[in-house]
Amino acid sequence: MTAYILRRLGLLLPTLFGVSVIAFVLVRLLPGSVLEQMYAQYGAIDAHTRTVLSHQLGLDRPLVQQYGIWVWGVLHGNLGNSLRSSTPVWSELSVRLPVDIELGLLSMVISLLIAIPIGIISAVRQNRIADYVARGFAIGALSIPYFWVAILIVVFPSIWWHVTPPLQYHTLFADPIANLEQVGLAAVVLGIALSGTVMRVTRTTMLEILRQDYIRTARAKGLGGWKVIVRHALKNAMLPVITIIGLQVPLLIGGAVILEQIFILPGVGRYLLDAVLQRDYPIVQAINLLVAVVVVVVNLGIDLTYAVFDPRIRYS
Amino acid sequence: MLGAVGLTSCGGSNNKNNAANNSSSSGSAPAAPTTSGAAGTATVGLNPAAKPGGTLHTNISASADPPNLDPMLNRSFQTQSFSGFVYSRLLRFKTGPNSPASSYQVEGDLASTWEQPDPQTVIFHLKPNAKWQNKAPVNGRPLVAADVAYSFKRFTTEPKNVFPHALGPVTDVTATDDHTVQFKLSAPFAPLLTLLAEFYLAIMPHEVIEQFGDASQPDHAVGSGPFLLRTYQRGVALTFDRNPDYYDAPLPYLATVVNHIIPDPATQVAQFRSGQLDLFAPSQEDYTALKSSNPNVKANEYTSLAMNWIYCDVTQPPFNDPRVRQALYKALDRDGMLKVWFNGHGAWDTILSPGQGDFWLDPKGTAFGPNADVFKFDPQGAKQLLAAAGHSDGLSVPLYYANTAYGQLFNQVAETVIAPSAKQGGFNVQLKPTEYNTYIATIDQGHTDGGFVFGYNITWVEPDESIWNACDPNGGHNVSHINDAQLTSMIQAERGDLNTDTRKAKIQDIQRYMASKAYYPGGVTGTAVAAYQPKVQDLYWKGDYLWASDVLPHVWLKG
Repeated sequence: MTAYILRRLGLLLPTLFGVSVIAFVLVRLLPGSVLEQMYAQYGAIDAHTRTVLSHQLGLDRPLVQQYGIWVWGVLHGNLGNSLRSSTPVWSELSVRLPVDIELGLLSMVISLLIAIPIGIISAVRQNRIADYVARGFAIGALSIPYFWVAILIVVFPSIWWHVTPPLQYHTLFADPIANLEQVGLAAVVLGIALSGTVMRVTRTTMLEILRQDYIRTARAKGLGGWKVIVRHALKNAMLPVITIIGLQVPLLIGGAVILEQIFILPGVGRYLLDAVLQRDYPIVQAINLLVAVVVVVVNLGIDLTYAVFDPRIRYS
Repeated sequence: MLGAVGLTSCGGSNNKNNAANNSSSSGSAPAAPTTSGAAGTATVGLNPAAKPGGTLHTNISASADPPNLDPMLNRSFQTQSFSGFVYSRLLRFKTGPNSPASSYQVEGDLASTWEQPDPQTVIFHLKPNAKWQNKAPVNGRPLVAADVAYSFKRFTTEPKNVFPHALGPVTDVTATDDHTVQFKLSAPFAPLLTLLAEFYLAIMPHEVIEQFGDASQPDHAVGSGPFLLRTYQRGVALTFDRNPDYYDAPLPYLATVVNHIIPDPATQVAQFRSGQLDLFAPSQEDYTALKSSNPNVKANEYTSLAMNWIYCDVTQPPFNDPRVRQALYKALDRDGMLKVWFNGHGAWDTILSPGQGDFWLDPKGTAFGPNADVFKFDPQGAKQLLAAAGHSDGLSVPLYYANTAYGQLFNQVAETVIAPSAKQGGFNVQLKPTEYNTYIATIDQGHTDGGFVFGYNITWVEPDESIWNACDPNGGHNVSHINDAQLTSMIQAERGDLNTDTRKAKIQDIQRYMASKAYYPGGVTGTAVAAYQPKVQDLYWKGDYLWASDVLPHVWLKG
């Protein structure tokens, strides 16, 4: 197992290298640079000023050299500075990442708390009213845009009761109640949106498993209905669900940008969006690397979790 | 001479809102040194009933973080909005019950008095009690004339300053003593005082720049303005505390101002409805909805300075033909634009916005003369012009616009008003929506590829900024590539005319001339809104960026 883990972690290096090159190149393919953004709307940048600024920002160096300087910095723990604000990227990320982590974890928990019970009930009560209601809920969660729901959640209470989530973000430790009022509400919206897929997968997998011989055997042995489902069927049904979770987690780092805007959360998503729009290369590159690390580590965790749910899986 | 005339009416005033605003404008030759208020004491506008203290929650120019906190490194409206809290200028725009929102009359900020002994010299006398904020590395030392001279030097030499030539023919700024600053110019320059009240010359301490290189970080934001930056939570809010050493004490009245960063307009409106937000700038549409849910909402409605514009490359086909340009003028349904965008509240632009006061010549008014005909929506007339130019079967042109920057209504105007009306006028418009930053990097640099562009012009207060930047061959934003000797000569003439009335006439002639040449068809400017809660008192809005220094010091909270 240890060797397996080490081997998987070893794959992190070529993955990060590939991601770094792609992120470095892709963002520079966008028309314009941060220089145009600095001069945005104020007129054409004259050649001399462009030369001076390019040099100051290191943008006049050959691309390979720029890449090398950036990677060298990353290897020494320096993710670079914003080209526009000169603020160290890591200092920003260290404040914004916890927001996304909290939002991601909360929404994932809410999603599972909703989806798994509903998925089970839907499978057990197949083609009955409970199943139809559950499936309708899942379809609704999948098809109704979560950002529209988020806007309604903010707008309607403000009209009816003059109530809104807190205006200013507070960390969980500084003011847990205000924090949960803001992040919790966003997490509920996102959790419901995520639950649709998880519920559908849970239902499908449960249906398949409930038809297996060993389930019939367990029932034939006299085991009660819910004991069969929870102790025998559910564990095996979790494998695809865990896979889905593994696919959803990286999206939560930087992917909830619309929710961050609506609920005024200073997350990574807004930071990344602004950076892409402003061609602030160090920020875009750093966040891409960060997401790559998250994807690799989370997928490793998912793969290891398989072994917990399925004893037949052994990593050697 | 500049004197009293230039100093008091340089920014013009909106005739529609004119009250006692121009009472000090004589229109005659100036004489003595001109004062804006008693030296070293608070300026006019103190309210004995005002209650000091309280926290004001705002969302103004804060849909995103300021790209940079150093006002000389970044000219975005978010940065300039921040600058108004912390930094002073020599002059500012007057506010108050007798100063309409669209009136930009200058008064002293750091300067207590000023005089112009000759057309190429302006002398400012600083308020003797002005001092830097009590933060390291300046630690509350007196603000002296040498600081102003230093700031000017930085302004003209800082590579990241996008406007090093904005102060035109100012060649030298020297401190003749600790409280006297002399500006020397290479030529008479009428816009100077308005420009000094705008965002260009923030007065900054040399200690910060010498020690840290710039003032881009929150800890280095040290000025002499009405508020001190307490904290900056990126993506969340900027919190400011009253500057106890402010030279115009007892102002500001407010103890704290929190400018919240809220990207989403629906969230802004919701937060105001719930009472968490005290002051923000809704669209006309949102303001109308707000009035039904919050009938007690107060507002300053004013003619915005933010004007959109329509332009094309006059040196390349097809728009190098004046008849094609005239056809475009006539093919634009400006009233339709106003209806969709601003519920009909607003006016037609020329190269100037109606927010620029009575320098702007109303194309619907009689004073414009026969050249105003080209502004009228006349699709048949447009088709005839196109036919005369050899396009009797119509003319296919792309319409470029940034569809990710200015909101849905802007896009709607492009797609449902401009394109169809142009089509009626014989232009087969191909819509080319473009991501904003790509638009800035390409199209807004003047690469229009035979098409025309619908966009937003910069928010200028001083009319010369709008005209010179867009029309002079050396202008900073001449996206139409105009190089018209007569127009250039007219621009130079207005810049050097220190008599407000004759200068105004020259600027109005420029607008007539531009209409005759069909340069910059122009869009529309709407009525903007600053909405605030009933507890907010003495808020007299100004449409420029520096609302924090012009407007907020007089604001207080009731209850």
